[in-house]
Amino acid sequence: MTRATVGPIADAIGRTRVQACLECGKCTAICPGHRAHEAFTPRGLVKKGILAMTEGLPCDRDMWHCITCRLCKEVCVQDVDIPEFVRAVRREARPMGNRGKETHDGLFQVACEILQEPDLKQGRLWWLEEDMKVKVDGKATDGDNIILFTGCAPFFDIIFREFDRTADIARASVRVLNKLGVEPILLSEERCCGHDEHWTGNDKAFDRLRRLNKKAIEATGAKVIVTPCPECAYTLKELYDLRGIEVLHMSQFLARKLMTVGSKPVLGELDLRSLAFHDPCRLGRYMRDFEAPRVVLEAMNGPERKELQFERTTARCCGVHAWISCDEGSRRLRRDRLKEAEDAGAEVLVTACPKCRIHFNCYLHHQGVEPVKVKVEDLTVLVAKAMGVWK
Amino acid sequence: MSSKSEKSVVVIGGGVAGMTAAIELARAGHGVHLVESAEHLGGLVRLHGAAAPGHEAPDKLISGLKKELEGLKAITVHLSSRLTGFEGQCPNAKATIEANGKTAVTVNAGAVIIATGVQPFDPKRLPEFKYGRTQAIVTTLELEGMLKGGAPVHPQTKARLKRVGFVQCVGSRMETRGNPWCSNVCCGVTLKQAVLLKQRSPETEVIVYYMDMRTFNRGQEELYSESRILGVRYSRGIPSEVLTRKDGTLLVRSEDASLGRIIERELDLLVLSIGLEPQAGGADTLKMLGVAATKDGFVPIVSSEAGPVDTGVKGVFVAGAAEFPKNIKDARTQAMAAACLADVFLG
Repeated sequence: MTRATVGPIADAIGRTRVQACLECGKCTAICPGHRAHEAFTPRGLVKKGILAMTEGLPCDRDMWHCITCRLCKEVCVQDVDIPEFVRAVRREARPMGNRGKETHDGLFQVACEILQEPDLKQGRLWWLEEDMKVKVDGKATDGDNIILFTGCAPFFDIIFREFDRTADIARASVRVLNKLGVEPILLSEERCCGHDEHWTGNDKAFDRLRRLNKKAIEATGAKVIVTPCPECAYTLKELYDLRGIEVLHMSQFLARKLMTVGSKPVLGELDLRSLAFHDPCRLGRYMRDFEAPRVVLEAMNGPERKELQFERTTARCCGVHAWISCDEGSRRLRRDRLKEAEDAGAEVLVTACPKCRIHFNCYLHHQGVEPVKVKVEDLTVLVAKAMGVWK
Repeated sequence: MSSKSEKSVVVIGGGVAGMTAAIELARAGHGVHLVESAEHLGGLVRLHGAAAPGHEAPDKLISGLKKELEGLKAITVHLSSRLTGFEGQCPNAKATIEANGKTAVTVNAGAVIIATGVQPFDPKRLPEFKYGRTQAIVTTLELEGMLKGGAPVHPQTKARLKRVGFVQCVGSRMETRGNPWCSNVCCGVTLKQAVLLKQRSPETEVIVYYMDMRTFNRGQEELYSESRILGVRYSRGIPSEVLTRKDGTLLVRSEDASLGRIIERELDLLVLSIGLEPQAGGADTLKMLGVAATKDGFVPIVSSEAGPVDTGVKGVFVAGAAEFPKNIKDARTQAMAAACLADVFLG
């Protein structure tokens, strides 16, 4: 086991308040990473962090099991920022060859490397359909100054199409925006937002992606970015330093539109018996928006709303993060969350994150796992269906 | 009103501290206006009905103090009332007391004693404990009521309690979620309740989830010891996940931090040992009196050593939990001190 030098960690120890820990163990009891991989405990990591001040940080591999879902920080009475501390430790461990167990032979990490090449020509908009009204690399005019940042959904579609047609989320986004009279700007050379690189401690890669995206975004002159992916929304909003540009998750954009339309907003009818909502961690615990997706759900008539055991601030995690540590442990997390929806009597578990949907659908598609009778759908796709623009 | 001087003392708050101060002042020959915002005297202590082993029941204490008050003609009790105006400086100030938001009287305020107490923490602010979602999750204050009879039963099923869990520090010691202080009395309240549960129903399993048990008050370490001998179990670690079930039971997940192991326990009652915090709306009263609240909202004292009952404003003293959460003994002691200082102040 290697030890990281104290210097760079010392800053993180101060910033993340690990020394304020009262050792109550709430973080560990609620931690999905620990549930999936017993060797990782947030309280243990914090303890190691305190010892690191004098002894250097022991960098074992367990910390890669942290999903950065922020449940720990949510229940911590001392506001110790464990995910941020994990990120700092990862940043120091990475150059020593200490990396997480990457899924799909590291395909996503490689893709992220390729996406850092400035001259890359991507073909990223393959999923567009003829009747969609968009402005590819358009310039903002007075009336239309909204960028639709699709995120990696169209790319994930190619990998996971056997069980998740992720590009549908990008299509649904365009169709919903068109229906609302918005002709969004799309970026032909949009890159991965760098969310996963940031959280796995790869600061250099994150910064390259950030610069490329920032340049493309600023070239349009647009003042609003809408994205169906909460990871993109959080990253662009909080980590990009986009001055004078507002970043909204699709649910936030829609909730705002609905509020300005009328007193009892109605988006349309859904042909579903019942649904429950899964708060994605980036939209909920990170961006602190628990209301917007619910406002949108309320505006769709038909299905009965079922309450999950764990919603809003303490919503359980979908089970995977940054395409690492996906295994039987993480499958248990997905099973438990899906079963929560099944137990609540929900026909569909609605999420507002393309990655959550993939992770859940992956479980439901997997052979030899405990079957769970629930379907999973993305909020934007449901809105497109309710508005009658789904094809 | 027969009094030593023309000036009366205005005591704000009719809990144990305010009642005690009023009684002592009246005995010393002063006229007293006791102002209580609720319909009855007794404050938070009134709601703590269960007596600790070897102790008097707190609600009995209140009725005793009430009787004493009634016998003292120098005390005027203003129920459902608030201080709505304060002009001038003690000993020559005038205080306006308004009852039910209507009738107002203006009285001489030679001195003022602030005894506005504290309010219990609302556990809904910590959603992980799911308070309010099922009857199987109660606060220590609610358990007080359940302990007034014999052995308490499950609030929903009315069955005998099989397993009860107490969670300490709910709304206390939260550096960044609101209340950073230790609320001082909650460990004692839990110990009392755990021992009573065990004495009345020995087969009920009782488990206390804690960070640190703080038993520095007289007799509490002995109570702590007794509770362990009676079979109360202590688990170092606060739960952070509660699963509610239709049959009224709960699945409570915590880390036993001594063992470094996750413990999932099936409980049929979860008791949240709630902390204490400054009264909402107390800031208005303080502002009127020219007293600046502490950063965390309590009534200030000049210093713990040099002026433990002086607010720093001439003739204005503080008593009881309004200054900081404290037990009955400490609240009454401070009230007696405040009464004594007010007496000296008025000459």
